[in-house]
Amino acid sequence: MVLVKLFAQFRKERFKTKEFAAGVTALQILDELGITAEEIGSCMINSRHAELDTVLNDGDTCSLFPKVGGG
Amino acid sequence: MNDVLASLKEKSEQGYIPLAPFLDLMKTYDLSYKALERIALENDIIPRRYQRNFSTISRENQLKLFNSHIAIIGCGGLGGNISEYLTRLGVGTLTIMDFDHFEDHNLNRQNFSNMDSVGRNKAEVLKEGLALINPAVTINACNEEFTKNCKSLDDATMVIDALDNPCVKRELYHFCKDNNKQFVHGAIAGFNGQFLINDGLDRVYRDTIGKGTETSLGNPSFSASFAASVQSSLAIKLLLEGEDALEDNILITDLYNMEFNILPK
Repeated sequence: MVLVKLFAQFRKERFKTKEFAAGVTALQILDELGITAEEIGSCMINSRHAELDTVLNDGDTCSLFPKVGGG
Repeated sequence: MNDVLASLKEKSEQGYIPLAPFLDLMKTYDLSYKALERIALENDIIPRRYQRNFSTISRENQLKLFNSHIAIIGCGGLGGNISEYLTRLGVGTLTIMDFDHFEDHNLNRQNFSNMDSVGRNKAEVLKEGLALINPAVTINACNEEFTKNCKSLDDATMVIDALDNPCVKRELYHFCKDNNKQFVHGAIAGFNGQFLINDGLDRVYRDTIGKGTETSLGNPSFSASFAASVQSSLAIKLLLEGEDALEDNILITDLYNMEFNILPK
């Protein structure tokens, strides 16, 4: 299993943490959650920056933060 | 000069010169506000407007602030507040840049936007407001859009990113790298904020060039002033101590859930 952590408004009507089957990518999870890649600022896998198409292995933790660009 | 200094000392109270005699001395010796503040600070006399910073800003650092030049790019939610904070601190020279004018939809959050300033250029409005707060600060107001060929930032050693979209923020980031300037990034969207110093902007803006989630979330007043406070404190520590308070990390803030996350770069 992989642990997915959502941050900020991504949690709304979704979850804070949830387990998914290993072997998926963050992109696939985002698609399932109705979040677009353009909305993502940082994608961290095991506390390191990663691309959204990285395959998540058993035991991985993937944290997804929204892109913040306003002033 | 000796007369000015003697008068400053005579009118000072425990090392602080109050505003009223300060203004009198300007007239007596035909000096500008800035010129008299320079004489005071260089002789360890602190204008009383700075007194309540007490030991947070030492006397030596007050002079260091006076001799500093910081550029603030963007005069909206972030820049309007940052420019006021740095003006009240007594940063000697501020370059503020924005080509845009205040609109009614800025009134929810942008400092210096009001019923009179709607329709006017933001940088020019800020210059007027800041001069009323602290005449010792030289304000270079630039009614222009930031581009990588910008010449208005030549003299600034530090640049604060108060822009409102990731594409231009990224351009400013590379401009600072190319021109060897300190870069203090901040951004907001809804309850969210993010901050970093000098490196790592590609970590939060990855490979996309679109706008952030602020386009759907908007930016409330408290997020703007909170982020402006964080950026101002980061800038001041970097300026005075030469230290990155984030220790080369990225700070992600969420005021809705009151979560503060530190991400490595």
